[in-house]
Amino acid sequence: MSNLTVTREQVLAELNSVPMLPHSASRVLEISNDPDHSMADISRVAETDAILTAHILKVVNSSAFSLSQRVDSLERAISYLGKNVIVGIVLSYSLSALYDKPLEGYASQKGALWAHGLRTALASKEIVKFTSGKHYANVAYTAGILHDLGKSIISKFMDGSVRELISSVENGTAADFLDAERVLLGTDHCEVGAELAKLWSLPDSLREVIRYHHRPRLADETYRPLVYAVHLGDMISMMGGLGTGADSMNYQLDSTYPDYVDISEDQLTELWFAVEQEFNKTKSVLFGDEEGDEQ
Amino acid sequence: MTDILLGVGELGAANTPGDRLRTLALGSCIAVIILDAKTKTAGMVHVVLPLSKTNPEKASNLPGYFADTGIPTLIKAMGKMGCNENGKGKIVKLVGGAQIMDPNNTFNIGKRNLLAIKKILWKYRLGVIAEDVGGNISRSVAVDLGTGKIKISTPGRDEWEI
Repeated sequence: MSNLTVTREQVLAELNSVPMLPHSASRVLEISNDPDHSMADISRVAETDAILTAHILKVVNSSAFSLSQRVDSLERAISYLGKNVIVGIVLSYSLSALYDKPLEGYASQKGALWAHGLRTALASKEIVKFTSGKHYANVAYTAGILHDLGKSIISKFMDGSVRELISSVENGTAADFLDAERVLLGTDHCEVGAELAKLWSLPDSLREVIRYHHRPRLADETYRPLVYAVHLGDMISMMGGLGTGADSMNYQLDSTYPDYVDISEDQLTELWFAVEQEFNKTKSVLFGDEEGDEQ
Repeated sequence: MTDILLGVGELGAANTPGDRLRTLALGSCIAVIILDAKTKTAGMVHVVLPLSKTNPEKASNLPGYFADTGIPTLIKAMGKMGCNENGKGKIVKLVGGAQIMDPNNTFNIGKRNLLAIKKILWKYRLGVIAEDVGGNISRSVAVDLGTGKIKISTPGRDEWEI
Protein backbone atom coordinates (compact mmCIF):
# COMPACT_ATOMS: atom_id res chain seq x y z
CA MET A 1 0.00 0.00 0.00
CA SER A 2 1.27 3.43 -0.89
CA ASN A 3 -0.05 5.35 2.04
CA LEU A 4 2.02 3.86 4.83
CA THR A 5 2.20 7.09 6.77
CA VAL A 6 -1.45 7.02 7.88
CA THR A 7 -2.00 5.52 11.31
CA ARG A 8 -5.15 4.44 13.10
CA GLU A 9 -4.61 7.27 15.60
CA GLN A 10 -4.51 9.87 12.83
CA VAL A 11 -7.75 8.58 11.36
CA LEU A 12 -9.48 8.55 14.75
CA ALA A 13 -8.16 12.05 15.52
CA GLU A 14 -10.13 13.24 12.49
CA LEU A 15 -13.29 12.67 14.53
CA ASN A 16 -12.42 15.74 16.62
CA SER A 17 -13.09 17.97 13.64
CA VAL A 18 -16.51 16.45 12.85
CA PRO A 19 -19.35 18.75 13.91
CA MET A 20 -21.55 17.47 16.72
CA LEU A 21 -24.99 16.19 15.82
CA PRO A 22 -27.58 18.98 16.31
CA HIS A 23 -29.41 18.54 19.61
CA SER A 24 -32.78 18.19 17.89
CA ALA A 25 -31.42 15.38 15.71
CA SER A 26 -30.05 13.40 18.68
CA ARG A 27 -33.38 13.79 20.45
CA VAL A 28 -35.38 12.61 17.42
CA LEU A 29 -33.09 9.58 17.06
CA GLU A 30 -33.40 8.84 20.77
CA ILE A 31 -37.20 9.13 20.68
CA SER A 32 -37.67 7.09 17.52
CA ASN A 33 -35.47 4.42 19.08
CA ASP A 34 -38.05 3.98 21.82
CA PRO A 35 -40.82 1.59 20.65
CA ASP A 36 -43.41 3.49 22.74
CA HIS A 37 -42.80 6.88 21.18
CA SER A 38 -45.55 8.96 19.62
CA MET A 39 -45.55 11.38 16.70
CA ALA A 40 -46.37 14.19 19.16
CA ASP A 41 -43.04 13.51 20.93
CA ILE A 42 -41.20 14.02 17.65
CA SER A 43 -43.21 17.13 16.86
CA ARG A 44 -42.29 18.71 20.23
CA VAL A 45 -38.59 18.28 19.49
CA ALA A 46 -38.77 19.42 15.87
CA GLU A 47 -40.58 22.65 16.75
CA THR A 48 -37.60 23.77 18.85
CA ASP A 49 -35.43 23.79 15.73
CA ALA A 50 -36.40 26.38 13.13
CA ILE A 51 -34.24 24.96 10.34
CA LEU A 52 -35.55 21.45 10.86
CA THR A 53 -39.13 22.76 10.93
CA ALA A 54 -38.50 24.56 7.64
CA HIS A 55 -37.10 21.36 6.07
CA ILE A 56 -40.12 19.31 7.14
CA LEU A 57 -42.59 21.88 5.79
CA LYS A 58 -40.64 22.15 2.55
CA VAL A 59 -40.84 18.40 1.98
CA VAL A 60 -44.55 18.09 2.78
CA ASN A 61 -45.34 21.01 0.46
CA SER A 62 -43.10 19.72 -2.32
CA SER A 63 -44.43 18.49 -5.64
CA ALA A 64 -43.95 14.88 -4.51
CA PHE A 65 -47.18 15.12 -2.52
CA SER A 66 -49.24 17.44 -4.77
CA LEU A 67 -51.36 18.60 -1.84
CA SER A 68 -54.28 20.81 -2.74
CA GLN A 69 -53.67 23.03 0.32
CA ARG A 70 -50.41 24.24 1.81
CA VAL A 71 -49.53 22.62 5.14
CA ASP A 72 -48.24 25.17 7.65
CA SER A 73 -48.64 23.16 10.84
CA LEU A 74 -45.64 21.09 11.87
CA GLU A 75 -47.81 18.56 13.67
CA ARG A 76 -49.94 17.98 10.58
CA ALA A 77 -46.86 17.75 8.40
CA ILE A 78 -45.31 15.13 10.69
CA SER A 79 -48.42 13.00 10.90
CA TYR A 80 -48.78 13.25 7.13
CA LEU A 81 -45.19 12.29 6.33
CA GLY A 82 -44.88 9.44 8.83
CA LYS A 83 -41.93 8.66 11.04
CA ASN A 84 -39.64 7.06 8.48
CA VAL A 85 -39.70 10.10 6.24
CA ILE A 86 -39.27 12.36 9.29
CA VAL A 87 -36.21 10.40 10.42
CA GLY A 88 -34.93 10.63 6.84
CA ILE A 89 -35.39 14.42 6.84
CA VAL A 90 -33.72 14.79 10.25
CA LEU A 91 -30.74 12.73 9.13
CA SER A 92 -30.41 14.34 5.71
CA TYR A 93 -30.39 17.74 7.40
CA SER A 94 -27.98 16.87 10.18
CA LEU A 95 -25.60 14.61 8.22
CA SER A 96 -25.33 16.78 5.11
CA ALA A 97 -21.72 17.77 5.87
CA LEU A 98 -20.72 14.10 5.93
CA TYR A 99 -23.07 12.55 3.37
CA ASP A 100 -23.39 15.20 0.66
CA LYS A 101 -19.94 14.86 -0.83
CA PRO A 102 -18.20 12.48 -3.19
CA LEU A 103 -16.10 9.89 -1.36
CA GLU A 104 -12.72 10.04 -3.10
CA GLY A 105 -11.34 7.03 -1.22
CA TYR A 106 -14.17 4.90 -2.62
CA ALA A 107 -14.24 6.62 -6.04
CA SER A 108 -17.93 7.25 -5.45
CA GLN A 109 -20.11 10.15 -6.49
CA LYS A 110 -22.02 12.64 -4.39
CA GLY A 111 -25.31 11.13 -3.31
CA ALA A 112 -24.16 7.50 -3.50
CA LEU A 113 -23.77 7.11 0.27
CA TRP A 114 -27.28 8.47 0.80
CA ALA A 115 -28.86 6.28 -1.84
CA HIS A 116 -27.09 3.22 -0.45
CA GLY A 117 -28.04 4.10 3.14
CA LEU A 118 -31.69 4.72 2.31
CA ARG A 119 -32.05 1.49 0.38
CA THR A 120 -30.33 -0.43 3.18
CA ALA A 121 -32.69 1.24 5.68
CA LEU A 122 -35.81 0.16 3.80
CA ALA A 123 -34.53 -3.41 3.33
CA SER A 124 -33.40 -3.73 6.96
CA LYS A 125 -36.79 -2.55 8.25
CA GLU A 126 -38.42 -5.43 6.32
CA ILE A 127 -35.78 -8.06 7.10
CA VAL A 128 -35.95 -7.44 10.84
CA LYS A 129 -39.54 -8.81 10.67
CA PHE A 130 -37.98 -12.22 9.92
CA THR A 131 -35.98 -12.16 13.18
CA SER A 132 -36.81 -12.40 16.88
CA GLY A 133 -36.25 -8.62 17.04
CA LYS A 134 -39.45 -7.46 15.31
CA HIS A 135 -39.75 -4.54 17.74
CA TYR A 136 -36.60 -3.10 16.16
CA ALA A 137 -38.31 -2.11 12.88
CA ASN A 138 -37.91 1.65 13.43
CA VAL A 139 -34.37 1.28 14.72
CA ALA A 140 -33.47 -0.89 11.72
CA TYR A 141 -34.50 1.92 9.41
CA THR A 142 -32.41 4.55 11.22
CA ALA A 143 -29.51 2.12 11.56
CA GLY A 144 -29.66 1.39 7.84
CA ILE A 145 -29.19 5.05 6.98
CA LEU A 146 -26.33 5.39 9.47
CA HIS A 147 -24.51 2.07 9.05
CA ASP A 148 -21.77 3.36 6.71
CA LEU A 149 -21.23 6.62 8.59
CA GLY A 150 -17.53 5.81 9.01
CA LYS A 151 -16.90 5.83 5.27
CA SER A 152 -17.38 9.59 5.15
CA ILE A 153 -14.53 9.98 7.67
CA ILE A 154 -11.97 7.47 6.39
CA SER A 155 -12.50 8.22 2.69
CA LYS A 156 -9.98 11.06 2.52
CA PHE A 157 -7.26 8.86 4.02
CA MET A 158 -7.79 6.33 1.22
CA ASP A 159 -7.68 8.91 -1.58
CA GLY A 160 -4.99 7.81 -4.04
CA SER A 161 -5.01 4.23 -2.75
CA VAL A 162 -8.21 3.00 -4.41
CA ARG A 163 -6.44 0.78 -6.92
CA GLU A 164 -4.25 -0.81 -4.27
CA LEU A 165 -7.30 -1.49 -2.12
CA ILE A 166 -9.06 -3.17 -5.06
CA SER A 167 -5.96 -5.21 -5.97
CA SER A 168 -5.44 -6.42 -2.44
CA VAL A 169 -8.97 -7.88 -2.45
CA GLU A 170 -8.57 -9.34 -5.95
CA ASN A 171 -5.24 -11.00 -5.27
CA GLY A 172 -6.43 -12.33 -1.93
CA THR A 173 -4.06 -10.32 0.29
CA ALA A 174 -7.18 -8.95 1.96
CA ALA A 175 -10.25 -11.11 2.68
CA ASP A 176 -12.62 -8.33 1.62
CA PHE A 177 -12.72 -4.54 1.28
CA LEU A 178 -13.11 -4.05 5.03
CA ASP A 179 -9.95 -6.04 5.59
CA ALA A 180 -8.21 -3.96 2.91
CA GLU A 181 -9.18 -0.77 4.78
CA ARG A 182 -7.66 -2.20 7.96
CA VAL A 183 -4.43 -3.16 6.20
CA LEU A 184 -4.09 0.39 4.86
CA LEU A 185 -5.26 2.42 7.84
CA GLY A 186 -5.10 0.15 10.88
CA THR A 187 -8.84 0.69 11.22
CA ASP A 188 -11.98 0.42 9.06
CA HIS A 189 -15.23 2.26 8.35
CA CYS A 190 -17.07 0.18 10.97
CA GLU A 191 -14.75 1.04 13.86
CA VAL A 192 -14.48 4.72 12.90
CA GLY A 193 -18.25 5.03 12.44
CA ALA A 194 -18.84 3.42 15.84
CA GLU A 195 -16.39 5.84 17.46
CA LEU A 196 -18.29 8.75 15.94
CA ALA A 197 -21.57 7.26 17.16
CA LYS A 198 -20.04 7.14 20.65
CA LEU A 199 -18.93 10.74 20.40
CA TRP A 200 -22.45 11.68 19.36
CA SER A 201 -23.91 9.59 22.21
CA LEU A 202 -26.09 7.60 19.80
CA PRO A 203 -28.02 4.72 21.42
CA ASP A 204 -26.18 1.40 21.89
CA SER A 205 -28.40 -0.32 19.31
CA LEU A 206 -27.23 2.04 16.55
CA ARG A 207 -23.61 1.82 17.68
CA GLU A 208 -23.68 -1.97 17.53
CA VAL A 209 -25.05 -1.89 13.99
CA ILE A 210 -22.47 0.63 12.81
CA ARG A 211 -19.65 -1.38 14.39
CA TYR A 212 -20.68 -4.91 13.42
CA HIS A 213 -22.79 -4.67 10.27
CA HIS A 214 -20.13 -6.65 8.39
CA ARG A 215 -19.45 -9.06 11.29
CA PRO A 216 -22.88 -9.47 12.92
CA ARG A 217 -21.85 -12.58 14.84
CA LEU A 218 -19.60 -10.37 17.00
CA ALA A 219 -22.42 -8.00 18.06
CA ASP A 220 -23.84 -7.96 21.57
CA GLU A 221 -26.42 -10.76 21.85
CA THR A 222 -29.21 -8.28 22.74
CA TYR A 223 -28.88 -6.46 19.43
CA ARG A 224 -27.83 -9.36 17.24
CA PRO A 225 -31.18 -9.81 15.39
CA LEU A 226 -31.07 -6.10 14.50
CA VAL A 227 -27.43 -6.23 13.39
CA TYR A 228 -28.05 -9.30 11.21
CA ALA A 229 -31.06 -7.55 9.64
CA VAL A 230 -28.93 -4.55 8.65
CA HIS A 231 -26.14 -6.89 7.50
CA LEU A 232 -28.56 -8.50 5.03
CA GLY A 233 -30.18 -5.16 4.17
CA ASP A 234 -26.74 -3.85 3.24
CA MET A 235 -26.14 -6.91 1.03
CA ILE A 236 -29.49 -6.43 -0.74
CA SER A 237 -28.70 -2.78 -1.32
CA MET A 238 -25.33 -3.72 -2.84
CA MET A 239 -26.89 -6.43 -5.01
CA GLY A 240 -29.28 -3.82 -6.36
CA GLY A 241 -26.19 -2.02 -7.65
CA LEU A 242 -26.20 0.60 -4.93
CA GLY A 243 -22.86 0.16 -3.27
CA THR A 244 -20.89 3.22 -2.47
CA GLY A 245 -18.17 2.89 -5.08
CA ALA A 246 -14.94 0.98 -5.57
CA ASP A 247 -15.71 -1.36 -2.66
CA SER A 248 -18.72 -2.47 -4.72
CA MET A 249 -19.87 -5.93 -3.60
CA ASN A 250 -16.54 -6.95 -2.07
CA TYR A 251 -17.88 -7.86 1.36
CA GLN A 252 -18.43 -11.24 2.98
CA LEU A 253 -21.90 -12.53 3.77
CA ASP A 254 -21.92 -13.88 7.34
CA SER A 255 -22.91 -17.51 6.81
CA THR A 256 -24.45 -17.72 10.30
CA TYR A 257 -27.32 -15.39 9.30
CA PRO A 258 -29.93 -18.22 9.14
CA ASP A 259 -29.49 -18.61 12.92
CA TYR A 260 -31.03 -15.15 13.33
CA VAL A 261 -32.99 -14.41 10.14
CA ASP A 262 -35.54 -16.98 9.00
CA ILE A 263 -36.12 -15.98 5.39
CA SER A 264 -36.59 -18.12 2.27
CA GLU A 265 -35.25 -17.33 -1.16
CA ASP A 266 -38.77 -16.53 -2.42
CA GLN A 267 -39.45 -14.23 0.51
CA LEU A 268 -36.17 -12.51 -0.18
CA THR A 269 -37.10 -11.97 -3.83
CA GLU A 270 -40.49 -10.50 -2.88
CA LEU A 271 -38.84 -8.28 -0.33
CA TRP A 272 -36.28 -7.08 -2.88
CA PHE A 273 -39.10 -6.03 -5.09
CA ALA A 274 -41.07 -4.20 -2.39
CA VAL A 275 -37.93 -2.41 -1.20
CA GLU A 276 -37.14 -1.12 -4.66
CA GLN A 277 -40.60 0.42 -5.06
CA GLU A 278 -40.46 2.00 -1.61
CA PHE A 279 -36.96 3.27 -2.33
CA ASN A 280 -37.96 5.10 -5.50
CA LYS A 281 -40.91 6.68 -3.69
CA THR A 282 -38.97 7.76 -0.59
CA LYS A 283 -36.02 9.00 -2.60
CA SER A 284 -38.17 11.36 -4.60
CA VAL A 285 -39.87 12.62 -1.42
CA LEU A 286 -36.58 13.31 0.36
CA PHE A 287 -34.44 14.51 -2.50
CA GLY A 288 -36.74 15.32 -5.40
CA ASP A 289 -36.30 13.42 -8.65
CA GLU A 290 -32.61 14.18 -9.05
CA GLU A 291 -30.50 11.27 -10.25
CA GLY A 292 -28.70 10.01 -7.15
CA ASP A 293 -28.06 6.40 -7.87
CA GLU A 294 -25.28 6.53 -10.40
CA GLN A 295 -22.36 5.11 -8.53
CA MET B 1 -25.22 11.65 -30.50
CA THR B 2 -27.88 10.74 -27.97
CA ASP B 3 -27.52 8.68 -24.83
CA ILE B 4 -30.52 6.47 -24.24
CA LEU B 5 -30.45 5.68 -20.55
CA LEU B 6 -32.32 2.55 -19.53
CA GLY B 7 -33.42 2.35 -15.90
CA VAL B 8 -33.86 -0.75 -13.78
CA GLY B 9 -36.11 -3.22 -15.64
CA GLU B 10 -36.31 -1.06 -18.76
CA LEU B 11 -35.52 -2.08 -22.31
CA GLY B 12 -34.83 -0.22 -25.51
CA ALA B 13 -33.52 -0.52 -29.05
CA ALA B 14 -31.95 1.97 -31.41
CA ASN B 15 -30.35 2.09 -34.86
CA THR B 16 -28.93 5.61 -35.22
CA PRO B 17 -25.14 5.47 -35.58
CA GLY B 18 -23.43 7.48 -32.84
CA ASP B 19 -26.20 6.95 -30.30
CA ARG B 20 -25.48 4.97 -27.18
CA LEU B 21 -27.64 2.66 -25.08
CA ARG B 22 -26.63 2.90 -21.44
CA THR B 23 -27.60 1.36 -18.13
CA LEU B 24 -26.10 1.96 -14.70
CA ALA B 25 -25.03 0.08 -11.58
CA LEU B 26 -26.11 -3.43 -12.52
CA GLY B 27 -25.14 -5.23 -9.29
CA SER B 28 -26.66 -8.70 -9.59
CA CYS B 29 -28.87 -7.52 -12.48
CA ILE B 30 -27.84 -8.46 -16.02
CA ALA B 31 -27.85 -6.35 -19.18
CA VAL B 32 -28.79 -8.53 -22.15
CA ILE B 33 -27.47 -6.85 -25.29
CA ILE B 34 -28.67 -8.01 -28.71
CA LEU B 35 -26.98 -6.75 -31.86
CA ASP B 36 -28.57 -7.25 -35.28
CA ALA B 37 -25.87 -7.05 -37.94
CA LYS B 38 -28.15 -6.64 -40.97
CA THR B 39 -30.15 -3.64 -39.71
CA LYS B 40 -27.36 -2.33 -37.42
CA THR B 41 -29.82 -2.25 -34.56
CA ALA B 42 -28.84 -2.72 -30.92
CA GLY B 43 -31.21 -3.62 -28.14
CA MET B 44 -30.66 -3.89 -24.42
CA VAL B 45 -32.72 -4.98 -21.42
CA HIS B 46 -31.79 -4.45 -17.74
CA VAL B 47 -32.99 -7.72 -16.18
CA VAL B 48 -33.48 -7.70 -12.39
CA LEU B 49 -34.96 -11.09 -11.54
CA PRO B 50 -35.26 -14.43 -13.37
CA LEU B 51 -38.97 -15.23 -13.48
CA SER B 52 -42.11 -13.11 -13.91
CA LYS B 53 -44.17 -15.44 -11.71
CA THR B 54 -42.67 -13.45 -8.79
CA ASN B 55 -44.93 -10.56 -9.72
CA PRO B 56 -47.07 -10.93 -12.88
CA GLU B 57 -48.48 -7.40 -12.46
CA LYS B 58 -45.02 -5.89 -12.53
CA ALA B 59 -44.17 -8.07 -15.52
CA SER B 60 -47.05 -6.63 -17.52
CA ASN B 61 -46.12 -3.03 -16.63
CA LEU B 62 -42.38 -3.45 -16.97
CA PRO B 63 -41.61 -6.70 -18.84
CA GLY B 64 -37.87 -6.00 -18.89
CA TYR B 65 -37.72 -6.54 -15.14
CA PHE B 66 -37.77 -10.32 -15.55
CA ALA B 67 -35.68 -12.52 -17.84
CA ASP B 68 -38.61 -14.59 -19.12
CA THR B 69 -40.66 -11.55 -20.20
CA GLY B 70 -37.82 -9.11 -20.93
CA ILE B 71 -36.03 -10.99 -23.67
CA PRO B 72 -39.14 -11.83 -25.79
CA THR B 73 -40.32 -8.20 -25.44
CA LEU B 74 -36.94 -6.89 -26.53
CA ILE B 75 -36.89 -9.18 -29.56
CA LYS B 76 -40.39 -7.94 -30.48
CA ALA B 77 -39.30 -4.32 -30.07
CA MET B 78 -36.37 -4.99 -32.37
CA GLY B 79 -38.76 -6.67 -34.80
CA LYS B 80 -40.65 -3.37 -35.11
CA MET B 81 -37.37 -1.82 -36.21
CA GLY B 82 -37.00 -4.28 -39.06
CA CYS B 83 -35.08 -7.13 -37.40
CA ASN B 84 -36.15 -10.76 -37.71
CA GLU B 85 -38.14 -11.84 -34.68
CA ASN B 86 -36.02 -14.94 -34.34
CA GLY B 87 -32.40 -15.57 -33.58
CA LYS B 88 -31.18 -15.23 -37.13
CA GLY B 89 -28.25 -12.84 -37.63
CA LYS B 90 -28.14 -11.72 -34.05
CA ILE B 91 -25.25 -11.45 -31.63
CA VAL B 92 -25.81 -11.56 -27.88
CA LYS B 93 -23.57 -10.20 -25.13
CA LEU B 94 -24.20 -10.25 -21.39
CA VAL B 95 -22.91 -7.95 -18.65
CA GLY B 96 -23.52 -7.95 -14.86
CA GLY B 97 -24.78 -10.70 -12.57
CA ALA B 98 -22.31 -9.93 -9.78
CA GLN B 99 -22.62 -11.29 -6.29
CA ILE B 100 -21.51 -10.52 -2.78
CA MET B 101 -18.81 -12.73 -1.26
CA ASP B 102 -20.90 -15.73 -0.35
CA PRO B 103 -19.19 -19.11 -0.55
CA ASN B 104 -22.53 -20.90 -0.06
CA ASN B 105 -24.20 -19.03 -2.94
CA THR B 106 -27.32 -18.41 -0.84
CA PHE B 107 -27.83 -14.94 -2.18
CA ASN B 108 -26.67 -15.53 -5.72
CA ILE B 109 -29.45 -13.84 -7.67
CA GLY B 110 -26.86 -12.95 -10.31
CA LYS B 111 -26.26 -16.60 -11.08
CA ARG B 112 -30.00 -17.38 -11.14
CA ASN B 113 -30.50 -14.50 -13.56
CA LEU B 114 -27.76 -15.81 -15.80
CA LEU B 115 -29.22 -19.33 -15.94
CA ALA B 116 -32.72 -18.04 -16.67
CA ILE B 117 -31.43 -15.73 -19.41
CA LYS B 118 -29.43 -18.49 -21.14
CA LYS B 119 -32.43 -20.80 -21.05
CA ILE B 120 -34.63 -18.23 -22.78
CA LEU B 121 -31.95 -17.33 -25.32
CA TRP B 122 -31.66 -21.02 -26.10
CA LYS B 123 -35.35 -21.09 -27.10
CA TYR B 124 -34.54 -18.49 -29.73
CA ARG B 125 -31.43 -20.48 -30.65
CA LEU B 126 -29.32 -17.54 -29.59
CA GLY B 127 -25.87 -18.23 -28.18
CA VAL B 128 -23.88 -15.73 -26.15
CA ILE B 129 -20.71 -14.69 -27.95
CA ALA B 130 -19.24 -12.56 -25.18
CA GLU B 131 -19.97 -12.01 -21.53
CA ASP B 132 -18.58 -10.14 -18.58
CA VAL B 133 -20.53 -11.61 -15.70
CA GLY B 134 -20.15 -12.65 -12.07
CA GLY B 135 -17.46 -11.43 -9.72
CA ASN B 136 -18.03 -8.87 -6.98
CA ILE B 137 -18.27 -5.62 -8.95
CA SER B 138 -21.28 -3.55 -9.92
CA ARG B 139 -20.97 -2.66 -13.61
CA SER B 140 -22.34 0.14 -15.79
CA VAL B 141 -22.63 -0.42 -19.55
CA ALA B 142 -22.62 1.69 -22.71
CA VAL B 143 -23.36 0.19 -26.15
CA ASP B 144 -22.08 2.29 -29.05
CA LEU B 145 -24.53 1.95 -31.95
CA GLY B 146 -22.02 2.93 -34.60
CA THR B 147 -19.26 0.50 -33.67
CA GLY B 148 -21.23 -2.11 -31.74
CA LYS B 149 -18.60 -1.82 -29.02
CA ILE B 150 -19.67 -2.42 -25.47
CA LYS B 151 -17.90 -0.42 -22.80
CA ILE B 152 -18.04 -1.45 -19.17
CA SER B 153 -17.17 0.70 -16.18
CA THR B 154 -17.11 0.45 -12.40
CA PRO B 155 -15.85 2.97 -9.84
CA GLY B 156 -12.09 2.96 -9.25
CA ARG B 157 -11.07 1.06 -12.41
CA ASP B 158 -10.33 1.85 -16.04
CA GLU B 159 -13.10 1.24 -18.54
CA TRP B 160 -12.91 -1.98 -20.57
CA GLU B 161 -14.64 -3.44 -23.62
CA ILE B 162 -16.20 -6.70 -24.68
